Amino acid sequence: MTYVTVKYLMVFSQITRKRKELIPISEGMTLQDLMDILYVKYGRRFKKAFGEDLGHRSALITINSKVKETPYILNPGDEILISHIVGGG
Amino acid sequence: MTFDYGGYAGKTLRIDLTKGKIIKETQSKPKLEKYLGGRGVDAKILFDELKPNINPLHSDNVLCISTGPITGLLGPTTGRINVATKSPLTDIYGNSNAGSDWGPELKYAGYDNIIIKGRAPKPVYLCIDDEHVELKDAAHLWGEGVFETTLTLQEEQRGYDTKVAAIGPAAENGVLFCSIIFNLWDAAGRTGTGTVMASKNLKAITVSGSGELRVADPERYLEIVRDGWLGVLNDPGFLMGEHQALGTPICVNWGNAQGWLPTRNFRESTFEGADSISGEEFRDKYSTRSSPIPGGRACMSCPNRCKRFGRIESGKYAGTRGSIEFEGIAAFGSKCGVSDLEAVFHAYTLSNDYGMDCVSCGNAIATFMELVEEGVLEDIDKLGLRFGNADAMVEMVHRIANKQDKLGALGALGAYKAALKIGKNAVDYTTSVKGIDTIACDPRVAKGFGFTYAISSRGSDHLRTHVVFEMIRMPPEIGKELFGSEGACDLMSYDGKVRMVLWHENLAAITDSIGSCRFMHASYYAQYPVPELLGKLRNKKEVNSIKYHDWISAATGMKIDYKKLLEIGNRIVNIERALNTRFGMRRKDDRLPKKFSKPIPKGPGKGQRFPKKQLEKMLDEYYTSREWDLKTGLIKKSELIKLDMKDVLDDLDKKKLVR
Ligand code: SF4
Repeated sequence: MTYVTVKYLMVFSQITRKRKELIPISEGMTLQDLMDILYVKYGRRFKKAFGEDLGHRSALITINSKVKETPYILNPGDEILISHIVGGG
Repeated sequence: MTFDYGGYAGKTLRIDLTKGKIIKETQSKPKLEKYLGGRGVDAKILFDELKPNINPLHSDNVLCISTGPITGLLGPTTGRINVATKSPLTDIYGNSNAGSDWGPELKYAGYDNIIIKGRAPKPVYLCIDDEHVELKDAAHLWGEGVFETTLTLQEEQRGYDTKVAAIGPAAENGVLFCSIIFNLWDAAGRTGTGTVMASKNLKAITVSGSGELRVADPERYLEIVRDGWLGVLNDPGFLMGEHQALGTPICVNWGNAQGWLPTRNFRESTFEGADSISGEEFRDKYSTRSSPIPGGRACMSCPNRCKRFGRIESGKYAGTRGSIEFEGIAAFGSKCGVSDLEAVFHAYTLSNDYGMDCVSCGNAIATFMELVEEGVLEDIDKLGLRFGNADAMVEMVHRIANKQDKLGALGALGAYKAALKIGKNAVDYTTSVKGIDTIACDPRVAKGFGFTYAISSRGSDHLRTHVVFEMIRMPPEIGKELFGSEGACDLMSYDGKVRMVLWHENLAAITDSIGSCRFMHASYYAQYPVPELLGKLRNKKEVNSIKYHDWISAATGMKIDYKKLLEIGNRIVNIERALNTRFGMRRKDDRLPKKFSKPIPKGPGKGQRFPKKQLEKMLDEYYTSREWDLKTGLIKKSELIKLDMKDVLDDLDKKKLVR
């Protein structure tokens, strides 16, 4: 079995109650497939937190520190970071 | 008698500590019309009343504490307070700002601001209880920490209804970067205002107020404020819970992901230990039910609640309890290469109780760590002062506060003055601009932040502009419309950044002068005209926003439109420039430290730097827009005339300080 690591920042870690986890992947699995698994696993609040209606402030997904589109095919060992975009400190 | 303008309490308290005299003055209407209050009025008072060449710790230095016209009223964030003086850390204009409910209380007591001069013959505190104002003996408080001082004074007076601004023992010891801490948790942290207060033998200021404030047009006021609230509540950043989730420590992991988290005194900009000192870690481990305020806290009238509290239950630092902010985590954490959050939280709490600015304290330690590693400074006190050594970092906090041994005494000068004293090439390892060390965002990655550090009136500082605009994936169309370039929305681009900085700088001057919070117009972008532009882009029929110009007008009765608002912001920037001109600041001082011209070695910011040539180009554009002389950086006469600052012009002209 091969895995990717999913890291949850900010409210995502609150909703999932974890900061990171390993998710098994199969060959050819895309980022979209992974997101569908997570939507089912963590439910409506998780999906809502992506804030697709929030435009520029909607959630950001990076893979190995780079922004990727959902058709991206996952590789074993990829590190997926799910975060919001913030700036105020 | 009520004051002509609404919003204001209408009175100034003037304290002469040498003579023990307290005078209540009616506010000057023309000054308020031109400078509004808070930061603007304080800078004008310093310009008018401060002898430029005095030692900041001389009794003649002037300490100003001011609210603004909307402080203490209903509205989206009305609890900020401004402090200004000549800084002992930088020897130029010193200024800082804090949240809390101390400012509103001052206004309910009947005063907009306090001007403090002289030095009391023995330690005193200023007690303000509505119209009753007196200086009281503080012998029993001298030497006590901020927490003990605050709680004692509250107990001696009206309990929690008494709000306390206090300094700690580090200020009494003459550490140059001490804060004034408002009501236990909120620091006017930067530039050493607390050190000046200590030099005046003034331990604290307590305020209890029971009066009312009046607004000029109550009906209009409610409409405007409603619009502003909705502007914030519907802001995309607010909706996704930027600060409500973790407070400002949310920036640790995010800054690391974007590659601007200063690490090991800015050697790098990503920290392998970021997650273990993150806001998420703090929430999960220390924001327990037994923390001082478990759910977090907001300043007065703020929906944002960005203050986070925690408590360490067991282990070496058991019992540590207090608040925490991103800047402090970065200062004692990533900048020192320390990934032990308990040590960081403990150092932060110690720093607050000693009454020191956690940013300057952490930066001094981080600089020393690098100097020791590079062989420029000897670890004379044998502390093992190297990046990553949490024990040495915590020990240094104690030593600096008490000026203990050689390194403690050096650290008490702040990184820059200490480096000058160390000699050799130590200054090359500092991150200071105009004498103050750099906050927690690497300017080689965030170019707008970087430019701000170079031009900021209080030295290296982000809050003079808070150009978060470049960090939050703003639609490029908005960048183009507002600042003439889509690059304004791109963190690592230089395009459009000068115009972006200018707009933010003018608005930030307003925010600090009216008593509102930066995060409403630059973090969230609820301030006109950004919501309107975003709404247009998304075909929204109804758009709400904060409109400072309408807000101030409805509160005070002055007639201010958006154009005039920006003009007032510009005037405030210019009065600060005029002050700094007198302190000897010129174009050569609007610079970035040598460190930032070297490329970042790894991470998302790999290869990024801020070249001197680029900075000079941006300065040319900035000075041209501000109408400052390109060669010297002095303000042009024409600009001062345009801004109706004839008195300032006359004074500078006499000294040949205008072009
Ligand atoms: S956003 Fe934070 S700092 Fe600003 S007023 Fe609200 S609670 Fe205070």
